[in-house]
Amino acid sequence: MIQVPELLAPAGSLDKLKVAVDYGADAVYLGGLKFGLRSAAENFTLQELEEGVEYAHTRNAKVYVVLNGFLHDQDLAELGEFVEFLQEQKVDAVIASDLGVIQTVKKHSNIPVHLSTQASCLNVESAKFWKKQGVERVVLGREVSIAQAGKIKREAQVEVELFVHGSMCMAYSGNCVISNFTQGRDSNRGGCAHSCRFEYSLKFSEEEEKRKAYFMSSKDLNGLAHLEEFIKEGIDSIKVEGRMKSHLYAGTISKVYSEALKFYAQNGHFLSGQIYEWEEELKKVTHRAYADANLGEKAGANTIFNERETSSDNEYIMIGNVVEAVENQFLVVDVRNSFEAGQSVELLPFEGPGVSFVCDSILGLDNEPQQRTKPSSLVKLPWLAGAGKNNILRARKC
Amino acid sequence: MLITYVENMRELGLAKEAGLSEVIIAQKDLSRFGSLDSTQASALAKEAKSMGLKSVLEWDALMTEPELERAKKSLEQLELEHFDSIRVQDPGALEYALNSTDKMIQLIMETGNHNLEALSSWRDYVGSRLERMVLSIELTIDKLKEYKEALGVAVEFLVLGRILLFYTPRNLLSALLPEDDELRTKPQLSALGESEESPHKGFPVVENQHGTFMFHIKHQFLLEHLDELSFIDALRVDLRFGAGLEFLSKAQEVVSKTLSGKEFKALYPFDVIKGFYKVNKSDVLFKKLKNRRIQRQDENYVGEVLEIAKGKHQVIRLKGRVEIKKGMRLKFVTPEGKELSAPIVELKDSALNDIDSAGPESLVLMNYLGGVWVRSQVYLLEN
Repeated sequence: MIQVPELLAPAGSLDKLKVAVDYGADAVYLGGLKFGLRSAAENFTLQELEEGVEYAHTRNAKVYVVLNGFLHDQDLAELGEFVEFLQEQKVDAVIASDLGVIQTVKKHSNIPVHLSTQASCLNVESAKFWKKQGVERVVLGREVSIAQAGKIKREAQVEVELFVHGSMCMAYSGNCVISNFTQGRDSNRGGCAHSCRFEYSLKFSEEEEKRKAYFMSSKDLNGLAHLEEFIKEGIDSIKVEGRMKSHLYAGTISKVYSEALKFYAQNGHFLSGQIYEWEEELKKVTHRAYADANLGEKAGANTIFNERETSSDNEYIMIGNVVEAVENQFLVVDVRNSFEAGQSVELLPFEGPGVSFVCDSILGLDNEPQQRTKPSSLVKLPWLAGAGKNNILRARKC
Repeated sequence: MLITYVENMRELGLAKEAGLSEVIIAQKDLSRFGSLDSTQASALAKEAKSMGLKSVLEWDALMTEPELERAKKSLEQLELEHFDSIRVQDPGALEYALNSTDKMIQLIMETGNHNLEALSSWRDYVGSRLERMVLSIELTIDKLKEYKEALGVAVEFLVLGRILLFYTPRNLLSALLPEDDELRTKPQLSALGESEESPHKGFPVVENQHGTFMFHIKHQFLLEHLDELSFIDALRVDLRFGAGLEFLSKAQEVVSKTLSGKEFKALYPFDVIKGFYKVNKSDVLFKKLKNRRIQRQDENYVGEVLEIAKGKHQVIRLKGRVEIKKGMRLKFVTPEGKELSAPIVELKDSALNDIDSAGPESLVLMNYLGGVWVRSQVYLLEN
C-alpha cells in the first residue's frame, strides 16, 4: 500500500460528523460552542462532542477540535476547563492559531496541537518557529503551493496539512478585520460577516464610471486534479473546508476524496476516467466556480469568482437522508426537499457508485401512501440492498 | 514619543524638525507599502543616523517560501549597519531576523494577540532581543494599560492613520482592468469601493506588488487621548496615505499641547474614529447568530422531533444516551423556546409495532402533543 494523506473533513454538527466518517473521512474537525471561528454553525455541546469522539474512534477516525479564534483574556480564562474535558474525551488534537491558546492547551493537557491556517504559516522559518512552540502539525496558509508545502515539511521537520477543497478566504487568514470594524463582529472569534462576498462599486478615479464587481470573492478550491502531487510531496493531511455546509456536501466530498485516496494507495496511480467521474461528483454539491487557487501556481485573476452568490446552478439537490434502515423492509428518510412517486432519485452508498432508482412507492410513517413528500417529514421507501443509516439521497433538479 | 514612516530625505527632514527621535523605513520587497529599493532605504537610514535619528527597518510583508527567499536577498543588499532595529510580523521573518542579524526586534503583534498569555509568550521567545511590541488597535485603553504593566517591555500603538482591514496576496484591482489599460503599468493601483450591503462608503483599496489591501473609510485618531496614553512608549503616526508628513509637526504640537486634539481633527483631511479604544464588544452579537433553543442541553437529553402528524403522533429521533419507556414524562422545547410536556402513553417503532421502551439511535412514534414543532428538542422530565 502506498502512503497517502489523511482525509480531514468538516463536521459542523454531530449528524454531519457521522456522515463524513461513514463516507470515508479519516479524521474530522469540529468546534465546541466557543473558541472557534464559526459562531453561526451548530457546533457541539459537551455531550455531542463526547458522542462524536466515540462514534469516530469506533470507526478508526480521528477527531480534531478547533480552538482557532484569536481569543481575548476573558475567553482564555474559560479555555483551560474545556481543554481538560477534551483530554478526558481523548480527542486526537486541537487546532489553534493563537500562541496564548497553544500555551493554555499545553498547561492543561498533553493533547497534540495543530497550528490553524488562521495563523497564516507560509514558509519554512515560520513552521520552525511554530514547531518550537510545541506544534506537531502545521495547517499551512492557503497561499502555499503543494510543492512549497512539501519543502516546509522536509525542512522544518513538521507534519503539514493543506486545504484541498472548499471555500477560500480571499485574505491571508487572520488578516481580515472587515467585520470587526464595519459590523462590530470579530471575524477572528467567529463573527465573520463574509463582506468579501459582497458586490462592490469601485472607482479608480474621479472621472471614471464605477465598476461593479465581486472583486474580493474567491472561487472555491478544488484540488482533486492535484491529488497525486499531494501524495508525492508527502503531505500528511488534506483538509476540506465547510463546517457550515450541508450533509450532502459532507458526504459527497468525503466519499470522492476517500475513494480517490484509497484507489491510489492500492494502485499507485489514477485512471483518467475515474478523475473525470470524481470531478463530476464534486460538481453535484453546492459550490462556486472551482479553481485550484495556489496549489500549483500563484492564484491569478482567474481565481476571482466575481459573481453573486447563488445556488441556482446546482444540478442536484439533497432530497433526504436515511435515518433508519430496517433490513429487507424499508428505509426511513428524513425529507429535506420534496420529491414525488415515480421520480428518479439516487442513493449515495458509503462505497461504490450511486444507486439510481425510481421511487415507485412512498409511504408515510403511518404507512399511508404519499404522492409527493414534504420537507421536514419522514417517509418510508422500499428497502434497497446496500443502503444504510446516514446514506444520502439526492435527485437531479426538476 | 511619536514615531512615523519616512520615504525620502525631505520627509526625514520633516521628522527631524518635528522633534522625532525614531523613524520607520520601508523597503519595497520587505514592507507591504514600501516604495524604496535597498540602496534608497540604506541611504535614508544612513542619513537618519547622521541626523541623530534612530531608524527601524520595516519587514511586515507576509511571505510564502519563495517570497521569503527573495526577501532574504533584499535584506542582504541592505546596509543593515545603518538600521538600529527590524520590525517584523511574519514568524518566518522573526526567525530570520533573530538568527541571521544582530538587530533588536520590534514585534508587530497587531493581528490578534489579544491576550496576555500570547503576548507574554512572544516576549519570552524573543527575549533580550525584544525592543518593543506593537499592540493591536482592537485592544481597549484598559487592556493596553494592563498589558504594559504586566509585560514590562516597551509597547507601541497606532494613534493616527489608516486602519488596515484586509490583506491578500492576490491582485484584485488589476484583474478588473483590460490587459492594455494604462493603469496596469502603475506600481500601485488605487480605488475607492462601496457596497450596498455595507453602510460604509468609500473604502480605499490599494494594489501593489504584495497584493491588495482594503482600508477603513475612517482613520484611527487618538491624539485627543494622549494624556491617557502617556504610558505608551511609542505612539505611531502613519501619514503615508494622503495626509502627508506635513501633519507630523501638527501632531507633535498636540503632544506638546500647543494644539488641541480637536483642532488637529478639524485640520485633518479624513474622517476619524476611535475604533475599539474605549470598548471592544465585538463578540456580543454572536449569540444572535444562531437559535440556542434548538441547541440541545446535555442533561436528560432524549432527542429531536423529526416529524409531526397532526392529531396522530410525533416522531422522535433518540439522539442522546437516555432510554425512554412508556409512562415517562418528556419535555419538548420548541425552536421558539416554548416548553411543553407530556407523558409517553403510546410508543411505536418505525414499523408501527407497539413497544414499551426505546434506546439511543432509534426512531419512535409517540402520542401527539399539540404545539410541538419539528426540530423541538426533547428531554426526559421525570421517571
